[in-house]
Order: sequence, then structure tokens, then C-alpha cells
Amino acid sequence: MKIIKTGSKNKGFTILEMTATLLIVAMLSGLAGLFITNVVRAYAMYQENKEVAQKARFVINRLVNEFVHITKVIKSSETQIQFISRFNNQTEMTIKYEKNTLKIDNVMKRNIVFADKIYDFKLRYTKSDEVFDDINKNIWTNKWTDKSTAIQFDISFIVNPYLKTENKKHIVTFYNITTVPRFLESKK
Amino acid sequence: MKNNNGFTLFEVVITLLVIFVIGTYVLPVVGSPLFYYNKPIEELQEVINLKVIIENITHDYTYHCFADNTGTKFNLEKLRVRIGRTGHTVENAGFAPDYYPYGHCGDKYIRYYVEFNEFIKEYSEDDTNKTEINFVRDYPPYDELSMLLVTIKLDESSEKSLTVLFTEKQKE
Repeated sequence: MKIIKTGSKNKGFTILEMTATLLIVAMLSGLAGLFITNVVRAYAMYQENKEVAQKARFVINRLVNEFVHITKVIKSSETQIQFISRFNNQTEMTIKYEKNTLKIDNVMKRNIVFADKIYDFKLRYTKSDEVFDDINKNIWTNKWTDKSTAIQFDISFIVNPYLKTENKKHIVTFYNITTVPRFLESKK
Repeated sequence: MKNNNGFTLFEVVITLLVIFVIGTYVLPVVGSPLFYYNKPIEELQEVINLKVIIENITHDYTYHCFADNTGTKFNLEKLRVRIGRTGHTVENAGFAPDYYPYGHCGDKYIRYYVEFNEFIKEYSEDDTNKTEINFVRDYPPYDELSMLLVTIKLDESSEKSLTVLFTEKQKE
């Protein structure tokens, strides 16, 4: 039998080369995968935040408009405020936080939900009109008094996940939104 | 026998060039949401913080300026001093109890930059043109202390600013 030598040139790859290549490709694609996952997550969060910011802008503007035109506060607590406002044609009106929703209650509309998916809503009121002069005192209290001149609130929104694979809901909070009613009857 | 070890310089340069070109196109597309995903929330909180400072100033303007019933002689000039000097960042000055800055709100302090805080007055070159009203800065000695223009930012380099014109209140 004659063995024909084809020369010392290697044609094709050795198993070692193949394994090393596959290993490197696997490692690189793993890294790329991580990067892509992060990008997709960041994009999803960007979309979520954009949506919640738009909603928050609407809700906060509405509340601030109501509070700026208040002429008289009738009842108040951390989660509820009943008042008369120029914005609402001087009729009685209640804004309250109940079961993750903000509700408006007035003569025309009864318990209308005007914002849902609210995680938390907390109202505060200044103790007197001198408060900004003496910030060493704790100037905020949870009840409106005859001397109160400003309303402050924190509001948290529940953000629904943009990706179906993500189950966690995250919360976005806006702090210390302050409003000074300009037309209080007691201060005229 | 000729044996090729490694890559030629040409191959390396081409590879780097291709990576660079692809990277230039891909990064801005994927990078923007990656680095700025929290921007909508931050921007809104920034606007809220600006409004909080203006509301603090408005509180003093509404309830102290020209308020005879409280006995204070707080006027626009004092309001201007308390807001801070034009071109200065107002930090939490706990050592000067006479003039607390307006950055205090609830449990935290918001530092702010005063872009403009000066008295202004009406100005017109041509008296016949009554429809157009121009304002110019009023320098001391002031003609009248009736209009105070205030522009604040959170930071000197910030793009967002809020401007309010405080005028002399007429008694009702």
C-alpha cells in the first residue's frame, strides 16, 4: 500500500482552534447580550418615566390651580381637603386620596376619579403667615388653621412596567410641591 | 516556506475603522435612553423646585408686602434683598436669621441662582407710540420702587429659569 503525502500544509481547522473560537464567540455574545439587555431595560424605563412625567404634570398642575384660587378652607387632613375656590366658581369642593386614586367631589360631580394609580398623597399646611421668617420652627402641620397661608403636598405615582417580562412596579415621587393661595378671605 | 503569523497592519486598521464607524452610529441611538432614562422625572422635579422657591417669595409678597394689618414694614426693596443679589448662588445661610433665603421648603433646602433681581421701570423712546411698552433696569437713586423683576435658576448653567414680575400692590 502506498501512502500519498499531501504535504505539510494544514487544510481546515483543528479541534482546538474550533473550541477556542467558539469559546471566544460565546464570551463576546454573553457580554453583548448583557449590554443589549441593559439598553432595552433603560429604554423601557425611559418610556415609563416619560409617561409618568406627563401624567404627573397634568395632575400637579390641576391641584396647584385649585389650591392657588382657594378663598376658604373648610375641612382639612393629610389626605383630604374641602374648600371653596375661585377656580371652581366659589362652590364647595373636596379633593381626597382614597384607595390609590385622587377623587374630586363637588356639586356637579360626585366622587369623580381624576387620577388613578396614585401610590401616596400627603398634604401639609403652614402654621402661620410668619413661618418663612422663622425656619427653625417646624413650619408644617397636618391641619389647616385660621393662620395658615400655604399648602404643600408630596405625590407618588405607580409606574406600570413597559416590558411584559418585568413584573416589578416602581414608584416615582415628587416632593414639596408648594402653593400659596392668593385670595384667602381671612387675610383680606 | 512562507508562514503568516498574525494580521497585517492593513487588516487591523480596517477593523478599527469599521468598529469606529459602527460605534459612531449605534451609540447615540442606544446611548440616549441608556444614560438619560431618568431625565423626564428629574426635569419635572427641577420645575417643581423652581416653583417652590417662587411660591416662597410670593408668600412674603402676598402676606407681608404692604400688609399694614400685620404691622410689618416689608416692601419690595426688602423682598429684593431677601431674594439675593443678581448673579449669585444663594446657599443655606443659617447664620443670618434676619434674612433667611427662599430655598427652604419643608425638610430640605433648595439652592438657587439669581439670574436677575432688579427694579425696572417703563421706558419709551417715542412718546407717540403708546402701544409698545419697554422696560429698562432702574438704577439707584430709584425713580419709583414699583416693579421688581426676578429670574431664578437652580444652577448657573441650567437651561430652565422662572421669571416673575412683582408690582406694587394696590389696596382693595
